[in-house]
This record gives sequence, structure tokens and C-alpha cells, in this order.
Amino acid sequence: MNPFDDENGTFKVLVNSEGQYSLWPSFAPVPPGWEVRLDDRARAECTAHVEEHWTDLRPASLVAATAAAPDSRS
Amino acid sequence: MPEAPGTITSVFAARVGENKDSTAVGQGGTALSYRELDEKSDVLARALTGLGAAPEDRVGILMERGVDVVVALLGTLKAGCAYAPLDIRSPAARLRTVIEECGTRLVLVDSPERAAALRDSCGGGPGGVDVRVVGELAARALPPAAGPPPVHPQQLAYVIHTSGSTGHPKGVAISHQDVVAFAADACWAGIDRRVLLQSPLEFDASVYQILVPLLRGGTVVVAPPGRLDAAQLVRTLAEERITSTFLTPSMFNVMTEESPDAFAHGCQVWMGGEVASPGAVARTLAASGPGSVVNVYGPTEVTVFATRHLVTEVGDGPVPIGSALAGVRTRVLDEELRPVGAGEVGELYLAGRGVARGYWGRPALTAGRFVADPFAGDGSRMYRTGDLVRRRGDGLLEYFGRQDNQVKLRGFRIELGEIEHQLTRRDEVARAAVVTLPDHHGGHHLVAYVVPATPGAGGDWPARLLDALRAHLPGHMVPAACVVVERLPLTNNGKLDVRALPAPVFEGAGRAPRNRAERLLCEVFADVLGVPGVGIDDSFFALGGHSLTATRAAAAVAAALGVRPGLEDLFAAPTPAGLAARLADRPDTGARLVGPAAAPADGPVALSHAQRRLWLLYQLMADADPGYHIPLVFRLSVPVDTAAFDAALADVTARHESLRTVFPADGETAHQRILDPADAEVRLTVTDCRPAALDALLTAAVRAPFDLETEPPLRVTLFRTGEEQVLLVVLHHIAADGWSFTPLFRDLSRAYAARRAGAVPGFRPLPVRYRDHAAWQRAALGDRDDPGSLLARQLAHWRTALAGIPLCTPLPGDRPRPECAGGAGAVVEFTVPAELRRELDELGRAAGCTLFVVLQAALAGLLTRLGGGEDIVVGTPTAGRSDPALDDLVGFFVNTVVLRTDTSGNPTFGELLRRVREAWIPAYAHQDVPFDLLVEAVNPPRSLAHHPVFQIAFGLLNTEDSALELDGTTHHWRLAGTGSARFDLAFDAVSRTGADGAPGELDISLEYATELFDRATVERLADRYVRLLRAAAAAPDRPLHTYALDPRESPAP
Repeated sequence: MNPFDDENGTFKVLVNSEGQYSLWPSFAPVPPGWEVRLDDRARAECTAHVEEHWTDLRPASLVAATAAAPDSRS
Repeated sequence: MPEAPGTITSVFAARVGENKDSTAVGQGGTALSYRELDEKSDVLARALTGLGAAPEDRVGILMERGVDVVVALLGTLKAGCAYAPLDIRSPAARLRTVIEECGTRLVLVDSPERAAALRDSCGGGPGGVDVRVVGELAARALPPAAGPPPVHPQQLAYVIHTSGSTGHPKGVAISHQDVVAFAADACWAGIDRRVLLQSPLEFDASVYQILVPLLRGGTVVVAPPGRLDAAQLVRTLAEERITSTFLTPSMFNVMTEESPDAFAHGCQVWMGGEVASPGAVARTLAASGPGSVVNVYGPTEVTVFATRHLVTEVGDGPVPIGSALAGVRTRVLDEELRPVGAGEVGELYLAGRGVARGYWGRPALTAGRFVADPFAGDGSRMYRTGDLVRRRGDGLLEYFGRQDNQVKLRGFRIELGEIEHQLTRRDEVARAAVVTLPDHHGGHHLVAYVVPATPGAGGDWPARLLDALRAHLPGHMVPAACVVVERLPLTNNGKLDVRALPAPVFEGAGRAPRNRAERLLCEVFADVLGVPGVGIDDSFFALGGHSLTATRAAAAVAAALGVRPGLEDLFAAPTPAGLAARLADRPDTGARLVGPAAAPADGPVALSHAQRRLWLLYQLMADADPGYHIPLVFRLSVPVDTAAFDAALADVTARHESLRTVFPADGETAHQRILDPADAEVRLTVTDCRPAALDALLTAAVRAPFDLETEPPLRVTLFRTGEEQVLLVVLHHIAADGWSFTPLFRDLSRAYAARRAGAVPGFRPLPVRYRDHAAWQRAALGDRDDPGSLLARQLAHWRTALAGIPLCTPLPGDRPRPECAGGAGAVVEFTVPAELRRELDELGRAAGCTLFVVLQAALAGLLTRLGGGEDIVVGTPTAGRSDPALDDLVGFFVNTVVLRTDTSGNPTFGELLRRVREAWIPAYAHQDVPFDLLVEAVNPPRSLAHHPVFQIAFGLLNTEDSALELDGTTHHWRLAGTGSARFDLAFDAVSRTGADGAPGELDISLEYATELFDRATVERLADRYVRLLRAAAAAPDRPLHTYALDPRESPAP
């Protein structure tokens, strides 16, 4: 099974400079360029965190480049 | 050349400047030049902006294939919006779902009729979807002042919906810069002049078919509307002088069957989305010429195509998906996100160019599929494809199918594509698909759908096809049924439509016998296995058969049919239909193997081979060695009526001659003297003691020597401490074996119950006696000097099979081996839990082997891992009860055979299973040679330091549960240690039955030589054995040396 799909696994939530989120299995080292937002939690808790906080999927640089930010998530 | 990064609109504008009057898009008689397309799409863009469309808005496109589709697409992009293609063949409900999923507020359609239909289903009114006809919008002229804002390269270009695993669509959001970079790839040079648009817009191959030519100054040739058949496509390719297009292998295979030269006019076909058929590719290359076929791979999530392979030759394996397109990085990782070893299969991750923004409106889903790239170092992401690939030695990637299409059946991961490949490589198969379907046992099985190369194939062709597969695939990969279909149903995207496949017609399961032989075999199977009904396609082993029952079945078949199948026959053809066919051409020898019959003779009875061996050992060791004592301990939970027990013991001793046989010396040898029941004084000894003294007393009682010349070989002692009652039954091995426990304790329980009730047990007389067996065995084996005798033939087998075995299996002990083994031993007990045991059963069933083989394979693998070399020799007991009449007897029937396993080359556990099975069949088939004669025949250098031929023994006792029942309470026995060790290591596994009657845990007692090993070492070994079993059950396709043996050790890559 892919480690990202392990419902019983322990995960982190990572964010990069573009404000993009990544689920990350706790057993693997955190890759450079990413910061930990949530540490060693159940998968469901991590996905709930992402749903709650990543409300605009546009990369930060695009948001910065375009003044208006209309209805960009859904 | 287009420059990246940029936007689709800016690059297109540059192309318009260079190619004003060349044709940008055409269909039949309709064509638009670059300038016309630019103007029309400009008008549309302004109209959209006028309707309120803002940057990043998703604009639906619901149109039949035509020139206006391209106008709609470009107009949408110029308005800063992303286009979201909708499938015109979708039912209204699905359209609504997709529209809601991506929050589309505006949909472009191609006709007023379609507009009306969509408005009906998706509702007009406030909050409803605005539906517009492209032709009407693009015809209006609007003031230039209403132009849309400039587009940013990171802005979305399109949202294409793919179906998720739950069936709910998810929108893949791709930005301008990704499309621009894709179109800028050098691989398009020369083939971008006239590209055929025939894929539906909602399939991202259409992005290539539209935007690659448009961003490079070529022409989009739109295929005729409607569903295209192969002949139309072939005609269009030629008439329109198409330079390249994209096809699914399903369509490609159909087309090239009739017209392998369809691309001979200088067309290059890019084929992908499914596994390519090597046969179809080969015939196309031959007819259309080199350079005509590119195998391509790419998930929608990484912008159309990620890898490609210009096929130059077709080998035995799958057609490679090749190497990455410019800017794409491919990583093949294992389950720990580490790169897999060279040539190993792993999951493909894609990074770099083209990685989508994510799934529209699905942050959590996006964060789980588009993940941090641990190799980039710059905070960028990679997409995990869920596809399995292998990087060949030449760097090209080979596709092994979806990870989630990799089904797991009975513990084995099975790649459906591999089975399909084995089918389609056969000339008589045009196309094939393998799917998993629920079976009638509540599990799943594989079903193959095949399209024959020549129509009308039928009859037993599907069955023969499956037979042919057996030669190339392990048993667990051979489909349970094969269904012939005229064609494989395709979805709109040209992929296999699994749901449209006809329900399988089972040629197999439950088929009734067609002739006498099949009927008899069905009856024999049902009888031996104790199942109510057996169809002619039911596998003996799938129904629960194992080696012992296989011997039974062989004997029963001999009795019924007059032809005695070897065990090889039963393993090779385990179904009544298969076995009947295999035996059909063998003459009825009339030589039905007759079991032992009661001989009238009294007086001195010669020893059986096995008895003679033990008697000689007994003479050698005198009374010092309790190694051949069998001590069984029961912890009783009810008080014992000693008088009734004594009477019951007398009943049982009277019934079983072995329990009242003594062995008076007779010069060099001895003979069996069967005591009169009245003279055989086997009585319950009762010992009252303090709890603290119990262990020492038990040990002493276990080790107390038997005088085989004068005393019955059975002793029973009851220890009472006031707190507990422990019953100790000690048998000498010369009188009993593991398979004796069932009749012994069944009879003892019955007799005790009868005696408790003041009655006499009403035993049915036993048909044969042990001494009959001994005499019969001698006669059956024949003279070893007679080359035709059973004995001589089997000895010849063993001489060959065991030639060159290692003198002694080198296991790292805690101490050096003494020159003369002292025989001191101890026991470590451990358990394979019921849940793991059931997984191991499943594993065996799937591999077509028995639980015993699974356990042996793990032992051989473990010994190799621990330094025991790669030529593993293990001794194992066989029941030696080839006739059911012997089942009810207590006696020493067991024999020892030698199992030699080659563990070299780091085989997968599945491969190891195959090797052990292959080694086990002949070993088992030649099990009649008494072990002492086997040793003489193999003639290893003798040593007092270790057991001859093998030093490690493994036995599995999987008879029906043998337990002692006293006053309705069941008591299970446990083997006590004798303080001796017959071998360096001896595993004795006992299969228990769960409370629900299902197979339960395996209790294993591991006897070890204390001269060599410390207890902690053996405990660790036991622990590692269970760990290896667990790991192998979970993933039998991993190489032996990758399984973790220790708790903290992570599996090796």
C-alpha cells in the first residue's frame, strides 16, 4: 500500500512557500523547502486540518500577481 | 518555436502573427485560418467577459466534435477562464455532478437543442447555470474596449474531470504554463503539421490534439462527428494525410488488425491510456514502418503525457513507456518513499513540468496525491501516480499497471496486466481483459475475457487457454473462468468498460461429472475431504486437501479406478476433470494396492523397519536417553475417578496391541511379543505432592526409562498438588506416533465415560493390527536387491535426490559443536496465532500448496537468513498411514523423509513456495523407504557429532484435534520436554481447532540441543520464524532477504 493511503498511519501536514499543503507520513524525513504545520497525527485529523486551512488552492505567487482573488476555491 | 513559460494565449498570438492564412483548424469542408480562428475566439472571449466571466472561472464546454469546439476553447482561455469539457454522451445526472463539482456557472454548447436540454436538466433561473450557444456568441461583434484582462502563466487553462475511486469525479486543474511547456517539447517537431482531433474533449489527449498543433503553427484536423469506427479512422488518417494522433491501445488493436499499415503514409501514432499489446505493435511496425508507433504514458494530473517511447522493436516483455518528456522527472519509489533497487517494481512519482495545481476544490485530496518532493529540495511537489513501473537496465520504464488494479487475492498481489499479457501474446487471442469478480464463496476470483483472433472459436478453447496459462503463470494468477466475447466494450474514452462486460458463464464451478472416471473421482474427493459435493473443476487443494489426504486420495483412486495416480499427478491435475484426463490413457493395471489385512499368524512377530531402528538406538543408548519418549501433559480441570480411569486404560491397552507389545532381544535383533491384555499392567499411578515439587517430579517421570523387553511402552501418572491435577501420559515412540494421539485419546475418553457410567465401552473391532502392518510393509517394499522392488526404486531416488548434501547444516550456535553429541535438550514453545495461521492457509491455497509447504518454506528461508547456507536439508515425519484402515490404530507408523530446498538467488517467498512444493512432491512420493535404509543408501560420512543426513527436523501434526474428554470437559495435551534433543533443532507444530470448528492456532514446540544453543537464542529464532511467516503472508512477492526478521529492523528495499 502507498504510505499516503495508510488509514492507520501517522502523518504530518506540510506547507511550502506557495502555500501548498502536503500530507506527509511521519516515518519519512521532512523534505527541504517544507514546514511542518501539524505533527504526527492520525490521517483523518491531518486531512481535516488541510480542508480547514487550505482554502485557496492557487499558488501564493499567482495570488500576489493578480490583485483580485475572486471565488477561487469553489 | 513557442517559448515557455508563457500563456497559451500569448503563444497562440505569436503563431497567428507567423501563420495568418494557414489553416488552423478544419473539418471536412469547413476550415478556419489562424487569423479567422483568432478573430472568432476574440469575439467569444469578449462576449464571455460581457457575461461576467472572470479569470479562473470554469466555463463548461458541451459540444460535438467540430471546428467550433476549438473556437470555444480558445475564446474561454482568452477570457482568462479555464475550460471544463463536458461529455455529450453523459446522462444528465452525471453532467450535473461535474458542473457542481467545478462550480461552473456558464456552459457553452453547440446547438439551441442542446442548450434547451441542458437548461431543462440543470435548471435556469437564479443560481442556475447560464447556457449559451457558441455560434451565437461568436457571431456578435462587441466593442474592443470590453477586452479581458491579461492572462497569468499560473492561471488555470482547463479542469478535466477524472473518475475517482469512489466514482465521484474530481477535476484536475492545469495551468497555462504547463500546457505551454508541454507543447514546446522537441518531440513534436515534424509530427505537428496535421494532427487529428478524434479523442473526446473530456479526455486530455485532446489537449495534445488541439493545442500542440495550434501552439506550433500546425493544423488541427477534426475527425468527423459521432462515434468513429476503426475503418473510418483508417480512412481519415490517409485522406487527411495526418502526421500524428493519439489512440488507445483498444482502438489501436482493432484498427491494426485489419490495417496494420494504417500509419504507413508517414503518420506517427501516440498510443496510451492502457497497456499496449506487443503483438499489435509488432505487426504495425512491420507494416507501417519504423517510427510509426510511440507508446506514451501520462496521468491527467501531470498535463497530458509524462513519458514516451518510440518503439523500434518488440521484445518478450511489455512495451516500455520509455523515458520522461522534457522537464518531467520520474521517480520509482518503494513503500517507504525510497528509490527502489535497479530493475525492481515500484510506484511511479512524477515531478517537474506539468504537475497540476491540484483537484479543483478538493484541498485534502490534493494534499494527499500532490505531495512534497523529497528529492527536489526546493519545496516543489510531486504527483504519486498509483502506477507501478520498473526501470529497465537501459533506463526505460516499463508499466506494470495500477497499484489499485493490482488485486490482492489470497495474500498474493496480482497484476492483472501481466495475465492479460500472457493471453494476448498468444496468436489465437486478439484481445483480452482480466478482471476480479466476487465468487460464490464470498471471496473474489479472476475472470478472463478474451476476443478470439478467428471468430467462432469456442468449445473447450477457453479451457485450453487457461491450461496454457498454467505453464506460464503461478496458480494464483490463472483465472477461474475464461469468457469468450466478440469484442471488449469500451467507454467513451476508449478504455475498457468493465461494467459492460457480460457476467461470467462458469464453465467451471459445479460442473457435473461427464463419465465414469470423473464421477468416481468426484466421489473419492468428497469422501476423502469430507465435503458434501465436488464438481469436476474443483481443486483438491482448494477444498482443503493436504499431503496426507492426497495420499489417501491416491490410494482411494487406485481402489476405485484400478489406476494408481502418483502424488505428482494429483498436484499437477488437482481437479476430477484434470485427473481423469491425465489418467485416461494409463492401463488399468489391476494392481490395486491392497492394504494390510489381518494375518492369522501368532507367535513371534518381526519388527517393522521403524521399530527396528528405534530398538537399535534403544540398545545403543541403553536407558540413558529419553529422547524417544513422548510425554504428553494434561492440566485437568475435573477430578479423576481413578478406578474408572484404570479400567479405561485396561480397555484401551486391550484394544491397541502396540500398547501391550514388548520387545524381547533375539540375538542381534528383537521381535514383537504382544502381551495378553490381562498381563499388560498399565495402571494410573497417583502421586500427591507439593506444588513446588511438581516440576521436578514431572521431569523425573518423563525421563524414567522404559524396559522395552518386559514393560508395556505406556505410563500414566496423575500428579495432585491440592491446587491442580496434572496428568502425564508417557509413550515410548516405538509404540506410537503423533498420528496415534487421535485414536488413543478418543478411545480413552470413550472408555472412561463408559466406565464412569458403570458400563463397558462398545468398541467396534479394529480391522487390522500393527503387526499386520509390519508384515505387510516388508512384503510391499520387497527386496532391495531386486531392482524392480518398491524399495530399490525408492532408494535409487534418494541416492540421486540427496547427492552432495552438506554434511551438516551450519547454524551459528552459542557454543562450538562437541565431537560427540551428548543429546541434552530443552524445549521452547511458541504459537502461530489463529489469524496468521488462516492467512498462511490462504497463501497455500493460492499457491496450490499445503500449509506444511508454507511452514517448511519459511523454515528453509529462515535458516538461510541465519547463515545455514542455501542448500537446506530438513527431516520431516510422514504419517506412513497410506490406508484409511490404519487411522484408528495406535502404533509407530511414522517415517522420516528428507526435504532438500535450494534457497539460492534471493527468491521471493512465492518462488520459495514453488521450490519447496517441487521438492516435496517427489520426497513425499518416495516416503516408503524406512529412514535407516535411506541413511545407508545416501551413506554420508558418519559422525557422532550430529544426526546423520539432517540436523533440523520439522513436523506438522494436522490430524483432527486429539483431546482427552473427561466428564464432558475437553483437555488438550501439551508436549513436555524430555530434557533430550534428538536433533539440533526440531519443530513440532500442532494444528489446533478453534472454538468455531475452524482451523485455529499452531502450537509449536521447538526442541533444541542445549550443547549448541542458549534458550534466549532459540527464543529469538522462534520469534523470527513467526515474524517471517507474518511478513511472507502479507507480501509473498518480496525477495527472501528483504523481510524484516527483527522488531526494529525495517524491511530492506
